[in-house]
Amino acid sequence: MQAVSDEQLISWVADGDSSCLGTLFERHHRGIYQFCLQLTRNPALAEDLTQEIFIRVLRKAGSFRGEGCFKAWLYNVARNLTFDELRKNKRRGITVPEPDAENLGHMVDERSAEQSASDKQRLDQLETALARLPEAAREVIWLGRFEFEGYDELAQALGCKPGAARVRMHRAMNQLNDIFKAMEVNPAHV
Amino acid sequence: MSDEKQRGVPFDGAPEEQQLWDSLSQINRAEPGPALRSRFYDALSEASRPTLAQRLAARFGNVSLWVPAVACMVIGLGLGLALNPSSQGTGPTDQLVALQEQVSDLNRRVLLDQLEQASTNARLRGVIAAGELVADDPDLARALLRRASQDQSASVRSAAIDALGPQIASAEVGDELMGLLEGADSPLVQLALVDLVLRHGTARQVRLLLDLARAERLHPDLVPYVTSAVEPTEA
Repeated sequence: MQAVSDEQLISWVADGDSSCLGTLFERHHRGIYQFCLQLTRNPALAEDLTQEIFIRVLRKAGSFRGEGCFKAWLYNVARNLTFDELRKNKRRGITVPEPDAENLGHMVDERSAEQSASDKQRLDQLETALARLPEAAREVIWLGRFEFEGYDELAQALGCKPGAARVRMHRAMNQLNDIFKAMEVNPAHV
Repeated sequence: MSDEKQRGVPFDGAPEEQQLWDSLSQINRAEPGPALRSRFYDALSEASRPTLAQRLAARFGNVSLWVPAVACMVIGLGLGLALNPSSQGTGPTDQLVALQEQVSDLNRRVLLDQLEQASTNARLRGVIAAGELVADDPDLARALLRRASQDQSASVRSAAIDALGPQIASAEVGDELMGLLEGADSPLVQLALVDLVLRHGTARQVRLLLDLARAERLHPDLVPYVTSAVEPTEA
């Protein structure tokens, strides 16, 4: 249980006590980093973005009006900043790295040794399929699977209506399933 | 990672999709590097530092308070000079000095008032501005000391400690600040105190700081910082 809610902390940040942002950082920076990493596939860029997102929160703290939850607002800031960065990179001709053995190695290197080889292969395939999804589909799956428990909050993070979030989730899972099945038929694609 | 975090939104898709949904929870999630935390706190401290414009605004920004008062004083002084022939004898330099004193007194009152404001931001601005005047003003020193020891915000406490600067060498301020050192609940505040002692403390205060570090009565992260800063000098 948290003694002070995120919403209370961000109101103190808005009131000028920036030290409270440290507590919010400690609570959420891992999730934000993992979200950025999913979208960028670049650990160094994901770290830079994580730092930038929290500094952006410091500057925008006054615009959090207490409607909805802080976490959804935070992820909305995160996705806006990350998509901006991805757009800039595309204009500069920098592309998101394709999921290859090296990238996957970074993502899965702590996997339990007890997992069977086939389970591991299936998870590798799933990660590769996830990485091959368009960013918009990847973000909805990641946030819906790991960060939020309700469509209201997910929708707030995505900046859409709950019904639209639900539709986007179903479409994204459908796309993931299609890619995953194609990889099972032709494992050379893995 | 907690189970709670892995629950996700309710998903009710086709069986194959449902299976994938379940499998997603087994994906390992990479941790950020250890440097991220320190980089963030550096950036936070940089971003929290008031800009020159903010410092000027803190010093001169409360226009609604001091501009009408100064204007009234100037008009009053002008009228007084015009209507009172006995004042013809005092030179313009004396009048300017008197005016300057009144302005600085007013400025000081505004600062003391700012240090007691409810808004953390206002207190922080007051602390920064007071730091520039504290050397010649025991009232401001006492007000800053009160912020350093009692303010509810760690940022204000740290800033007040920093603003007191060389005042730590005076008996009244020094004793109070050294008393805060051991009991400081926030590592940020303790770090500000340690830095202050290292920069402006007397030899006795530095020795006391080292004793606290050796007895591990400081925050664990600060102990090596203090010993490495003091011990080479001691040797």
